[in-house]
Amino acid sequence: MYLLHLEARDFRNYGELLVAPHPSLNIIRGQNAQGKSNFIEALYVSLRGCSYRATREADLIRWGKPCAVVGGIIKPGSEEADLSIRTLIHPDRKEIRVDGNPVRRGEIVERTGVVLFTPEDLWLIKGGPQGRRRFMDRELGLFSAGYFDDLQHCRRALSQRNALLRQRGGSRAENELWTEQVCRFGARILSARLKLLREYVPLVCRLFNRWTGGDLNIRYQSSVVISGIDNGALENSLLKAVVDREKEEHRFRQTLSGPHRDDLQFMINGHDARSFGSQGQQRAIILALKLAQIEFWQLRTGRQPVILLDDVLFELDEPRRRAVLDALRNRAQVFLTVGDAVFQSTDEHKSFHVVDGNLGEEG
Amino acid sequence: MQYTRSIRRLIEELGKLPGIGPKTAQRLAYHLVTASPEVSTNLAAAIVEAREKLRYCSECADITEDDPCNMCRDERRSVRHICVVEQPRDVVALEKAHGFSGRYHVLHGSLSPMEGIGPERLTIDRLLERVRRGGVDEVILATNASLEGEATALYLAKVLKNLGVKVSRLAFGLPVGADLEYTDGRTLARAIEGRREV
Repeated sequence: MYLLHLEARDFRNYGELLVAPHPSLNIIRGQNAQGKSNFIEALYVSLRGCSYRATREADLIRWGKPCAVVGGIIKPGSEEADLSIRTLIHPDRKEIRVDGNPVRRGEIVERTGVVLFTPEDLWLIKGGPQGRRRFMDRELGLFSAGYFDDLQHCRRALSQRNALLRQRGGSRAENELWTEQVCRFGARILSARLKLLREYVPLVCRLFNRWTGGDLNIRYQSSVVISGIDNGALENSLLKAVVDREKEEHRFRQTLSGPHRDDLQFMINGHDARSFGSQGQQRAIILALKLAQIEFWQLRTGRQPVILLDDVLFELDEPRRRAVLDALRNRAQVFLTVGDAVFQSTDEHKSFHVVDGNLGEEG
Repeated sequence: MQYTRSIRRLIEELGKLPGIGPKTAQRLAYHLVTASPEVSTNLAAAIVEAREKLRYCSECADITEDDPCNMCRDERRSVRHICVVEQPRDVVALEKAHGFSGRYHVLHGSLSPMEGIGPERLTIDRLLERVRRGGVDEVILATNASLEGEATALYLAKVLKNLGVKVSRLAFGLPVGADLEYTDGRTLARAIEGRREV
């Protein structure tokens, strides 16, 4: 899959943006604070319908303008017709359209594909469990039918149950009811995560091993004792976990078991990479996670995702940089930002230069 | 801009109504004070009359002028079937469909601890009372397909089953006349879950 054409209006520091990218490699040069990352973000928003770094979507709108638009034409596959995508962002609402028809965000995610590399990815290892859950939910969940809906239901059921725990007044039947809701949707999320990881984790570990020779192991750490992978078994495990911790839950007035408390643990040669891994090893895990994501896209959809690299290439040492570029070469459409450093590519590509919110193609 | 006091008050009051934002409230307020005086007096009178005359039916809890309501007094409607809905407007929707000729029961909401709504805040006791009195064969749960609507239906199913009455839930699935191809995944999954033998 690749973008034939991208356009944006009043998006971040861009007034008008019109680009016809190369189907494989696109290099974006420019000094700091000129709009390279904003360009990457525009690509991401048009393919995903949401941003990866804006805390409020209103921040995507150019200062003093009423709304922002990003969109373009994508070629989904060799046999499929071109698709027009468009996201309109108002301060208080958002509208996503595919071929002119309004769609839910989940739908655009299913029909496009994008994998993003940014320097912040390192927080996946270094940061708290929330980031790793977010990775599973956002990056892997999209490959499981109904995952987003189940996740929404699960979160809402949790809020309802926690509200009841705080009130302490619920009848037995009412308590049971909300516990069942949490366990029902929680089990679906757990089951989907475990099934996805069973396919995804081997891809990551193989890549890691190929580069470093080290042995990577990724464990799903659950707040629940997992005895089976299907919905029914997990629902029972979850119910049991909740019952077992009833006293504690009443003390903390929160639901303490479920997918919202789970984590991923990265082990290199038997040691926790978060505490004991070197910076280089942690980077290698991130790269393996990301490149495996690309393989996962191909495996699950038969399509190539668009690949965005924002300022990551030059943080890597030469062998890893080669490894990334080799992995990407001629397989997918790639956009990479390179600062003002000279980056020579012998591959067929297009170069763009950004100065103060103006992006121009270089001859 | 500064509004005169009475206009400001009118805008504030209108703005409290559901679905009315500040702009619409302003438009309505200016319309009411500039249109012919009957428009405002008729509206005010209609509101006062509705408030004075309307009450909840002691049987089904729907909004009515007479107690019990027309539907609860209608002998042609079967007392053996009770259809439970969240809101009075759901009764109107089901009546438009002409598919049901039993009696209704209005809960006035759904279970939601976040909003402090437990079973005691809904008209569940009254529903149980109706079933206990006897003569009811089946209770049809027609709450919304939202998380809270589903939870309310599950709760009702549990407490009603103790009374030995048949409990059913509205079917979810394909919209009538729709193409499979254009139906969203979530609805299709529900339709497969709720399939039935033919």
